[in-house]
Amino acid sequence: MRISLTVLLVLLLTVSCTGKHGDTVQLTIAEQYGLAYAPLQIAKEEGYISELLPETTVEWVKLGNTAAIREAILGGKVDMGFMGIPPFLIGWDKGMKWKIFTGLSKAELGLITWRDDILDLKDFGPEDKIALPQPGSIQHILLSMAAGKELGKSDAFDNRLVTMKHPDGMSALLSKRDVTAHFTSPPYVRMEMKEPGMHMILNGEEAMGGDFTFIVGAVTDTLHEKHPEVVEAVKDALAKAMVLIKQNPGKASAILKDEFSLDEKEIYTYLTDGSLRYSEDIEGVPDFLAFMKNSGYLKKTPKNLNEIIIGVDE
Amino acid sequence: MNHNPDCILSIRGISKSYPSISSSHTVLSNLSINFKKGEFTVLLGPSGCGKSTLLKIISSMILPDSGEIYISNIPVHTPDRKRILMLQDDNQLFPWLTVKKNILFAVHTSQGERRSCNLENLLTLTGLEKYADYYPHQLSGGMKKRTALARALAGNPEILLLDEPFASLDEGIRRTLQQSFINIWKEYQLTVLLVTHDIREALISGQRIVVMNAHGTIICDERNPLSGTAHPQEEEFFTLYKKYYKLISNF
Amino acid sequence: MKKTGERTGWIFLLILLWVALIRIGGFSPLILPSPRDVLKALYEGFTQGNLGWQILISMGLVLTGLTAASVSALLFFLVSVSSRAGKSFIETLTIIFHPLAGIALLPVVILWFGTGALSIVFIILHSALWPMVTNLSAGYQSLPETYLMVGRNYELSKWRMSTKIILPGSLPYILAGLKISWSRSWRALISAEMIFGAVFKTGGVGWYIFSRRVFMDTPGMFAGITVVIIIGILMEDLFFGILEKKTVLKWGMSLES
Ligand SMILES: Nc1ncnc2c1ncn2[C@@H]1O[C@H](COP(=O)(O)OP(=O)(O)O)[C@@H](O)[C@H]1O
Ligand SMILES: [Mg+2]
Repeated sequence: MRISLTVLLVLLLTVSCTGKHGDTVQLTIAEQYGLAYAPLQIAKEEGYISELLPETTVEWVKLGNTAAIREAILGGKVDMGFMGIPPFLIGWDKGMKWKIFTGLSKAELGLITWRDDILDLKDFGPEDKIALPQPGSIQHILLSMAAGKELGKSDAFDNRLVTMKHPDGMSALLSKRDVTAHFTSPPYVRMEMKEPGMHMILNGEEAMGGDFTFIVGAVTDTLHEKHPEVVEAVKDALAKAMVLIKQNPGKASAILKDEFSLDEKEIYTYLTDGSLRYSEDIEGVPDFLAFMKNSGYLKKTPKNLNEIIIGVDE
Repeated sequence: MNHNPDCILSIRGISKSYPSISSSHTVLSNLSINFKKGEFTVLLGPSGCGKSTLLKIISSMILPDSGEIYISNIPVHTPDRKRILMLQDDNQLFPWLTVKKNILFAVHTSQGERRSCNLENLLTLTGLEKYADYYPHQLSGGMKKRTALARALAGNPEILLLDEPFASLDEGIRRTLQQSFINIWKEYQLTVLLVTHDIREALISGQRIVVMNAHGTIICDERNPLSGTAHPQEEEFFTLYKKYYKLISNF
Repeated sequence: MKKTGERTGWIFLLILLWVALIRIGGFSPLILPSPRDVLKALYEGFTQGNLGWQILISMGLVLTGLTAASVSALLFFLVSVSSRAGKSFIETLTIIFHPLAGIALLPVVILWFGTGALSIVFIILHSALWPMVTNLSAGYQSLPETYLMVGRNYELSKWRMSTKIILPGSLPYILAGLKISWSRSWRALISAEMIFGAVFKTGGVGWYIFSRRVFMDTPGMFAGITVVIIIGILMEDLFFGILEKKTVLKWGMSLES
């Protein structure tokens, strides 16, 4: 008995302590699925990162949602992840040691409904449900911001949320039954709006009251302190991919078509229709901070933005 | 055809075979026999000769390949509570019912109403007074047999079909039980067909002894000369014992 | 009682191991919070949050689903014993649906029943029904022929035959089926809740865990998982334990023996 316990303990400890840092630097990047991550896909497919970091082994893991990325980073399995600003802030608030090192994309987000009688947030009845990726996601925080502004109650919809991935949310919306509205992002915003009877009640900018970055890249303090050059290189690689998308969207679509198993033309449309804009800029962090602190989603705010963003001086 | 009004149970031309690996195995062929009301018959035969099969056919638990069973000259094809079969199987009590409730099971008719039954009397008769609230799994094999017998009696049947009811009992309890059973039979005016491979038992209890050989053929059907004699003479008993022993083992 | 003592002992040991892991491993509380943090989160869940309600909602949903499954299983069973065609029909249904995880049905369930309590109940019904049906028919098949003979001898109607003999006689299998159904549907419920969100305003325990997770409240997440574990243990050891003690064990009918 005692022996087996000891063995178990030792095993657990070995598993959890096995470091992955050998002589060469190893970089593990978590990606998510979606067009908003296009520069990341291109940098990966075209080997931009390895080009700049020949000594570094780059590993990619694909994870289903932001919570999983945070958990993987906490567990030391991932060094870098991409997500919305609110999930990043929640992690930082809870004590994760990480910082935003780049913006990735801005996007047209929207709350779309099929119900003619709903033109405004105050038209939602108590039984009307809103589908979005998950509580604490950027969609959820934007909805809360708008609810706070329009209804004076930022958690007005918290009991009426349905957690769905974008495609599931879209089919639930289009079936016009249980889900009244869907808060989503490209390309689903345009796809849904093309369907008859759908209209948008709220878009991201209105909710926020300004421009903001949709997806940012975050990196652990450990990696950044030990190897700032790696972080720089990833940033450069992403910038290069952004340039490619802007200057040669045709080529970018060709690169992306396998990754998304979508038609090349379709991807081209999404890349060029203005619903997605790729840029390194990081916008909206102060607004998210202020709102999330006020509504109790965060317990603290940084004294200086450079505690959470690499390379800002304030 | 037998139209004797006394004839309560009539078995006519019964044949039964079971499928076996090579073709089929005939157990009973064209067997006929009649039983009078109130008669106590013992069917004696070696193991495997088809006694249990015959009882199951008589109680309509299984159907014969050919032939008919008549109760008071009416053919029957489904089991009924006039003909209660006490199985040979150890597994015939319901494990979820106590001894008492197992016995009372026989008293509830299909409509759920209760017939009169002297439970105390039955428990005393079978020596189960102390075990009324026991569950079957807490009983010995013999006690299970006694409970099954009590249940069979509790249902107040016209014809009681008993498949080796006293086998596997201790000698002492077997004697008492055999004796009390004879009293019950008289009191209730039952028609009894008791099946056994035990010659001694046949000689002690039966009015009529029917012997079946290993091929399921009736080779002897006669009144038991010892019937009614509580303490037969050693010599007479021994002579009869030898006679039946020869009959059932000689084939 | 001996079993209760053993169970408590093992659980105590696991908690000790937990504490030892934290002491030795130096884990961040975001990865492995201490039992004290979890207790605190649990306390806050009850006092500041709606954890009490959420537990009731989850239990209510599971009970509704299990009841619906029991009734349907009984109906299916009656169909399957009534005729040969009925039997092969139910068998076919079982072969098709039994291996299908409730979560795999989710998209269809959403289309048919939306995302409310009804869908969750349906998923529980699905998770619980098939093990029950299989166990009912296994119980029936294992029923000694002699029980049925006795029943026929006493001219029992089909109904009384079912209620007085077949059901009690299959009870060991029915209980085993119920146990599987319970644990399957409890699992399905927790995952379904995570997707369907806050049914009945506050949602159930599954939603509690999920909302703790997305806000990275690790102690809260562990508190939710602890609740799930405790309910599992209570059901297994108390509810089913007592039920078995009062029935199949008392009757010497348990499947193990
Ligand atoms: N259900 C059955 N299937 C096949 N063979 C059977 C079955 N029941 C009995 N038998 C065979 O029929 C013969 C008579 O059996 P049984 O009536 O039980 O004999 P007895 O009761 O006289 O010992 C035996 O050879 C037995 O193996
Ligand atoms: Mg026999």
